Amino acid sequence: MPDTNTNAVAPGAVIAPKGRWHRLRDSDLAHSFLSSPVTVAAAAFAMLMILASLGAGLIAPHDPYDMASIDIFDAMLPPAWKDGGEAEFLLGTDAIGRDVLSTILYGSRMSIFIGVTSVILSLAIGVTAGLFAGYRGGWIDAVIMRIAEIQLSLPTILVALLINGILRAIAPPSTLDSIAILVLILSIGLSNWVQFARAVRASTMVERGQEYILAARLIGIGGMAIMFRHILPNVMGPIMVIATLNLSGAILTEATLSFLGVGVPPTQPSLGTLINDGTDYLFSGSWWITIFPGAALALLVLTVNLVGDWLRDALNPTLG
Amino acid sequence: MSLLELRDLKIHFDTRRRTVEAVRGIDLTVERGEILGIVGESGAGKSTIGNAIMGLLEPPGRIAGGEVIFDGARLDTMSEKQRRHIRGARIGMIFQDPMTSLNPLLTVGDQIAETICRHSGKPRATAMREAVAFLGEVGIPEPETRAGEYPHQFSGGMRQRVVITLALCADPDLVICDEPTTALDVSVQAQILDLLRRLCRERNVGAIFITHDMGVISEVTDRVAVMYQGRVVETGATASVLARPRHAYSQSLLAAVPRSDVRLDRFPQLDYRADGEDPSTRKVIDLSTHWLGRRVGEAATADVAPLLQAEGLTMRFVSHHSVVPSWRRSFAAVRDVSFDIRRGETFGLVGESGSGKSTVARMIAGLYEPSEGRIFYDRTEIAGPGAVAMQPRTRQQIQMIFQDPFSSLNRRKRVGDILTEPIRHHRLAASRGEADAIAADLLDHVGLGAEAARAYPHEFSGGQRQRISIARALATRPQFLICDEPTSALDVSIQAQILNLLKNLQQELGLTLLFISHDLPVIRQMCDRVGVMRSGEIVELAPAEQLFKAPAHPYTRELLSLMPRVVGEDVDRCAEGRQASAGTAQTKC
Repeated sequence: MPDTNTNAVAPGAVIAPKGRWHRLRDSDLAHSFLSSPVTVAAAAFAMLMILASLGAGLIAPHDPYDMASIDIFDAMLPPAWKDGGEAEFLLGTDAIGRDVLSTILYGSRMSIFIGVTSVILSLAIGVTAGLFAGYRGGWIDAVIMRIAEIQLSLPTILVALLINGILRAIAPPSTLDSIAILVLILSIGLSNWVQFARAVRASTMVERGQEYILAARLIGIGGMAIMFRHILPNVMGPIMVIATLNLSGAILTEATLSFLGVGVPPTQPSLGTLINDGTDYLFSGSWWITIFPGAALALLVLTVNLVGDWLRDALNPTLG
Repeated sequence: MSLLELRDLKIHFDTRRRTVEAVRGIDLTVERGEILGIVGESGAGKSTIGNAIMGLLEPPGRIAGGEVIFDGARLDTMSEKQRRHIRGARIGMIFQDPMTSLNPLLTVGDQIAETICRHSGKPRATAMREAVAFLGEVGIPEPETRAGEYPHQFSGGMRQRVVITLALCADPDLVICDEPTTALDVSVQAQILDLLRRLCRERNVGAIFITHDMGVISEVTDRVAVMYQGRVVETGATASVLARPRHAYSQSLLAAVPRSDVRLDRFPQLDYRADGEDPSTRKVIDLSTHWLGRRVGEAATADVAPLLQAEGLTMRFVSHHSVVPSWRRSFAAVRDVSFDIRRGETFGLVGESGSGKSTVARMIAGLYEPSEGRIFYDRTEIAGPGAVAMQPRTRQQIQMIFQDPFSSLNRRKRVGDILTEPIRHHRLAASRGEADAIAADLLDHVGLGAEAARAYPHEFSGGQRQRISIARALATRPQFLICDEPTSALDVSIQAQILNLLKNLQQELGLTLLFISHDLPVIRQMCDRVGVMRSGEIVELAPAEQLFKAPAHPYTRELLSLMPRVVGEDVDRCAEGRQASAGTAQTKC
């Protein structure tokens, strides 16, 4: 490489403190982001959907869970641009007269909430397991990675169903509806930690041999502090990539479980339950009840995946 | 007509922020049978020239101006297809790392035979016979059997011989060697240099020898071009440039090369580089008042006993794991090593790669648990059967400076945080503010300036990072500093600065140093007593003067004789009045 010292600071030179925002805008990551129109569009769309669902209570034209505002005579109205559609219900209404647009906004809020929290759960478990396995090695590594391999040999959805079933079996029946969301988060979170653990373990094993870790050990810093204060910040790159890619997977798993009827209770629908509701009417002509939530789910997952893919390429210079 | 002529060659790298001018208009010629050396420090643009001649510039690099004329033909304007016929067939190239230059999936003989076939069109069987003959010629024993083996079955030196064969088998007119011996041990390096020189003579091949090592330049080349920041600052016959450098940069470069004949008090500081420290502004530390002089608990004792004693150290690494203990295999990286290190002295360990020097260092630092033997620090057993876990206070007194300035600093932390971490961990400062002040002061003492605390490690060059490493090691107020090849990743002028800094700090702080290096002249400059290691054992242990003047062990003698020396080392190298003694008898030139 030519001129490796171009970044060097002359001793005594005043290093101008740059603001965080300025550094961010100047960074290679921001440059790579802005020079990929597909990523910018995907990120914008994903953000739009996330913001719209967060603000569902404010921007949704109707409150689909307010029984008083639902009129059964509005049931099965087609989208506004079709014959018989009403401007009040832009994307039509479902079998009991709820506005489809509003249910999508409220439903994706639930889906995104469950997706994000379960990814955070998998991240916390997986990163901790990976750090211990990679840094301590030996039998700890062997035990953690064998558990991970057993779990990997089963399909994620099966593991989630299994955990879901067990949790539902041990919970008192009267509380089932109120803890349904917690059960869902636990079952999705526990079924996805392996990817994090494997990636973090591999990076940790590389970092462990680096001389800055040896220096920290010489200073006398303990294992926990080395793992979480020194190694963790250096392995965050791959973790962020996996978290983004896993978010879409978690949203899909949530939708699948809800579609199968073991997810959120019908009183608090998510995208999965909406799609499930609509399938009964798909062949009776009321396609909009299931197609629009389905499209929303597909777009959300697609855009999050596109952002994740970009992040993976941008943070991994070896891919070129 | 010259074999190769570069006329006003300019090479630019266009990056997002600006255009980096790696080569800024150079004129060079190479004749048939002549070896031209290009010497310079990292970032000078020397490898870029080699790649440009071969047409191997990676984008965004491009030839921005000038001409490359090879045997009368313009190489720079040639199509890729035409250039492919020249590359390999008429211009060969030898890279630094012999492992990555060979295909690990093909036998050595196949690779050479294939190259001969492709460039000469000879039948396969003839090519194979030639390949075997060639392998014999470059000094590979039993070439018939070795030709059927894979690259991983060869040692580093043997592999580089294969690479040389590969570059020369198509009978090229010019060969470009980019740091061909940098990855090799000194004894292997000497053989490879001999071989290259002989082959170029015999075959009347022109060669360009790119290196940062003045010793190598002196041994091999006929003419030398000194490069600095993309320009050739001086060219001439090797002997005359080395003996009487005219340009200020060449002078400073030569002055920084550690000498093996005399021990100097300090390296002469003739700084041409812009980012060098100004030695006059560095504050001298007064231990009686300075933070670094404050001791926890007891005062520094004037003990006559050695500070560190190693007794019969042995370190075995498991090479084959198994559940059944008797199936496990291990090899001894260090075997029965004993030595004492006195207070305030610099003890050197020298040896080739794999001799176990770093393992000894890591055992003393407490990173490895010795398989056998004991280590005493200040009369306390810190490793061995009678040792309790290392006390925080002992641990704090033994610190280490590592080889690789790029991996030894946590890239996610600010320099200030890197330095305050040990201070705060050992509660050596009363408050966060005091710790910051101490960190700023340490940065000042290693010649970086307190502003550096706010920056991240990637904003610094290798030498500056090594200064940060030293500051971090000092932050626990150590008495014993282990330096494991602290300058082998650095340019020679930066090396001189870092070694001077270590000497200054040692003097001011009364530090005891364990200094590990493969570089004999560096050892000579730094150490009071030296242990020579070979395959895990100390073969000779003697005061440095005695070791270099009258080596007792045959291995030491061999190492000393193989060391590349700068011709004209006895000439006063513009370091007037700064040498301890001048003109000591030369054993070999």
